[in-house]
Amino acid sequence: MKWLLYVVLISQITGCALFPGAKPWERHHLAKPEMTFGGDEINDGFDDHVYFSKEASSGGRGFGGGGCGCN
Amino acid sequence: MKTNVQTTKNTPWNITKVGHNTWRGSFSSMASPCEILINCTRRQHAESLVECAYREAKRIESKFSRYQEDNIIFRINNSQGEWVSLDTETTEILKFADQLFQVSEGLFDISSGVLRRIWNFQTHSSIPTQGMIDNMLPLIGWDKITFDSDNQRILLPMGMEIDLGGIGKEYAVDLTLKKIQQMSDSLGIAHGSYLVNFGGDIVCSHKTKDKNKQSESPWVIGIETIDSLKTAPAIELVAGGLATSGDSRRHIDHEDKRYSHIVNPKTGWPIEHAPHSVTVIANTCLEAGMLATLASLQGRDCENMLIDSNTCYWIQ
Amino acid sequence: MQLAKKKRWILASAVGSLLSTQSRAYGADWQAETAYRYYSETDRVTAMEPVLKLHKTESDGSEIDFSIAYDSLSGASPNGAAVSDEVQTFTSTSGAGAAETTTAASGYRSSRDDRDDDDDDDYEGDDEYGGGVREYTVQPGEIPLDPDFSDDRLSISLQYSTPATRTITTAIGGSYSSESDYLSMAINGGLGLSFNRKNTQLGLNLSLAHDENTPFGGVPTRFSKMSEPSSSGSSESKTIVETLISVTQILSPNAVVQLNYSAGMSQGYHTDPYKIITLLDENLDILDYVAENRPDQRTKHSVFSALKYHAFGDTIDLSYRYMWDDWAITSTTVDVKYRLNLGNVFIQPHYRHYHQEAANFYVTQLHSTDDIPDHASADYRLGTLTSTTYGVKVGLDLGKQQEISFRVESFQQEGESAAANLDAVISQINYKVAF
Repeated sequence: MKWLLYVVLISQITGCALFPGAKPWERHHLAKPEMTFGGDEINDGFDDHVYFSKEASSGGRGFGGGGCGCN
Repeated sequence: MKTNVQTTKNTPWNITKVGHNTWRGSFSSMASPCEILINCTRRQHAESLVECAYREAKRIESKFSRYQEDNIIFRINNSQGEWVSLDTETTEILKFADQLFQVSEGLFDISSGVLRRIWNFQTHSSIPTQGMIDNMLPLIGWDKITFDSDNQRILLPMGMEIDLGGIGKEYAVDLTLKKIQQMSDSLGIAHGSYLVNFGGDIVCSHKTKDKNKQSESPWVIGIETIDSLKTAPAIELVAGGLATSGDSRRHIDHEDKRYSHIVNPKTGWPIEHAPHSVTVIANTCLEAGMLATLASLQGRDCENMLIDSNTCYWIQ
Repeated sequence: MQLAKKKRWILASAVGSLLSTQSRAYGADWQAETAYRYYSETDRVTAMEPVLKLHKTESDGSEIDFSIAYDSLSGASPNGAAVSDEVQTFTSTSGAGAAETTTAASGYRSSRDDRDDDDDDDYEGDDEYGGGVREYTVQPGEIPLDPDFSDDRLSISLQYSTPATRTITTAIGGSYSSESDYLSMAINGGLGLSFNRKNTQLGLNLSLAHDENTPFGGVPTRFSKMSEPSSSGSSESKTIVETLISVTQILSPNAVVQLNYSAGMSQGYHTDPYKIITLLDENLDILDYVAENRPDQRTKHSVFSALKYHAFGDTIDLSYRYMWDDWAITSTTVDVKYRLNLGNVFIQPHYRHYHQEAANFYVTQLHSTDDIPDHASADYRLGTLTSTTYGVKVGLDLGKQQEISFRVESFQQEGESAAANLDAVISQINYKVAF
C-alpha cells in the first residue's frame, strides 16, 4: 500500500502568492463595508459636499461633491 | 446549586465544550454525521453559529436531495420531457456540473446516477450483464440534456435523471463555513476559527491573528485508514478544504476482481485500477472533493493526475 | 503535464465562481441608512442635512441605490471684500434692479430669515419679502460677511448597476439637485471589468452635468460696480464633462488598493454671482466694490490613490489626492482613518489635511490705477488655503443587522486672506439597517 503525505500548510502570508490577490473564499475581510471603496457612501457624500463648498478641489474618489451653487 | 450541566434545550443539534474556548456542535444531515468545531470565547456565540450551520446544511439537503419529493431535483427528474425553470443557485450548480463534465471529458456526469439501479455496491452482490448495461447507456449523458443557463431552465429527455450527490456535500460544507463566517462577523466575534466536517468532507478557516498570541494553531485532522495496523496520520490544516473520494466499504469483489464504486458513465463499467480512496487537500472542500473525484476517474493514472495538478493528496 | 494544471485551474475558478455567487445571492435584500448632520461654523453659517439612502441587491447581482438629501443652510458668509480700517457699507452686488435706488443685498436669496445672528455685522435693511431693499455694514477690522446667507437644497440620486457577464458590470445613474437659485442635473455611465480572477478591477466612468444658476437680482455684469449695479441677464449655465478611470487591486486577503485618474472639463459660468472684490483708489482708499469674474472654462485633473488594510482585526484606510487645473490651482489631500474594532463597538479616529495653491486670477483687491484684468476673484476658496480635519466616529452594532454611529469633527481653514480663517464643528448621527 502506498503512503504519500504531503506537508500541508496553506499559508495566509501574501508573499507566497505569485499574483497579488485573494481567493474568493479568502475574502471575508474584504467583503466588509469598511474594506470596500464606496462602502460608506453617506459619509463620503457628506464630506464631498462640505469640502466642495469650502475648497477649490473636488472629486478624485468619484464624481462627488458637485451639483450645488455653493461654489 | 450551580453545576456544569449540559443544556437540555430541545434542539436537533448538540453542543459540547471540548477544550479551552473550543466548542463542538453536532447534528445529522445528508446521511452523514456533521460536526462543527468552533473556537470562540462565548458559548452563546457558539450556539448561534451551530444553529446557523444546521440551518444551512438542512436548507441545502432539502433543496438538492434526490430522496425528497418536493424539491427542484424531483421536479427536474419528473419533468416528462418538459422545460423546468431553475432558480439562480441551482443554475450556478448546474453550470459547475457542466464545467466538470467538460474538464473530465465526460467522465464526471451528474446524469449517471441511473446506473445505481444495476450496480449495487452496498450489498456486495453480483455484477450486471452487458445487456443490462447496454439498456441503461442511452439514459446517460449530460450532453443529451439541454441546459439553458442564460434563461435559467433545463430540458431532460424522458427517462433521464440527474443527481447532485457528487457535488452537494462538498458544496454544503463550503457554504456552511461561509454562513458561519458571516454570522460570526455580524456577532462581532473578533478571533473566531471554525471547522466544518460533514462525514469526512472538511473545510476550516484560519484564525485571525490574535494580538496576544505569537502564532496560530492549526486544526489537526486525523485520516481514517483502511489498514488498522497503521496509525492514523494527522494532518495539520490552517485553512482550506479536505475531501476524500472512495470508500473502502463500497466495492464489489467478483471472481477475484475488485470493482470499484466509481462507474465510467461512458461504458457503464466501474473504473479499473482506481484506488480505494483518494484524499485531497485544496483551498476549498469543493475543490478538494472534485479533484479527488476527477483523479479517481482516471483509474491507473490517478496519481499522475494528482502529481501534475500540483496538489496535496494521499492515496490508499 | 500541462493539461492537468490547466484542468486544475479551470476547476479552481469554477469552484470560486460557484461559491462567490452564492454568498452574494443570499445576503440581505434591502439596506437603508439614514443620517443627520449638523454643520456649524463659528460666527458664520450653520447647516442641517438629513439624508436617506436605500440600497437593494437583486439575486442576479444587480444593485439599485437611491438617495435623497435635504440641506438647509443659513448664516453669514464672506462676500469677498477685503478687511478695512473703515466702516464698510454693502448693498447689492448682484446687479439686479439697477434702476432701484437701493437694491437687494448680496446673497439675500430668501428672506425668510430675518435674524441677525452675527455679532460682527450690523444688519440694517428693511425686510420686505423678495427684492427687498437692504444694506449691511461691517465694522473696521472685521471680515466682511453677508449676514443673511440662506439656502435650502434638495438633491436626489439614483444609481443602477448590473452584471453583463461574469466579469463585466455596467452602471448608469442620474442626479438632480435644486436650490432656489441653482439647479443641477447630471447623468453618468460606467463600465466595470474584472480580471485576474476578480482580483483586479478596472472602472471606466463618464459623467455629464448641466448646472443652471439664477441668482437673486440677476447675473451681475462682469466687474460691474456696486455703486452702479448692472445685470447681464437672469441666468447662466455651465456644462461639466468628467471621466474617471479607476483600478482596484486586491493585494491579499487583508489589503486592497485603488488608483484613480480623473479629468474634467467645465464650460460656462463659473463665477460666484454673490462675490465682490474691493476696488481701491490711488490713495488705497476704498473706491467701490466690483463683481468678480472667473474664466468660462476650467480643465482639471486629479490622481487619487487609496489603501485599505485589515490588521489586528482593525481597518486602516489611507488616501492621497493630487489635483491640478488650468487655473493654476494645485492641491494635495491626505486622509487617514483607523477603525478600531472592539466587538460590537468600533472607534474610528480620522485626520485629513488639505492644501491648495491659489488660482492665477485670485486677488485680495483691485486697484483703479491698474487695468481691469480679464479675470479676478477675491473668493478665499480660490486663494492659498490649508484645511485640517480631526474627528472621531463611534459605531455600535445593535445586532439584527442594525448599526448606529456618531461622528464629531473639527474642521479648520487657514489662508492668506482673513476670510479664510474658518472654524467649524461637524456632528453627525447615522443609523443603518438591513432587511
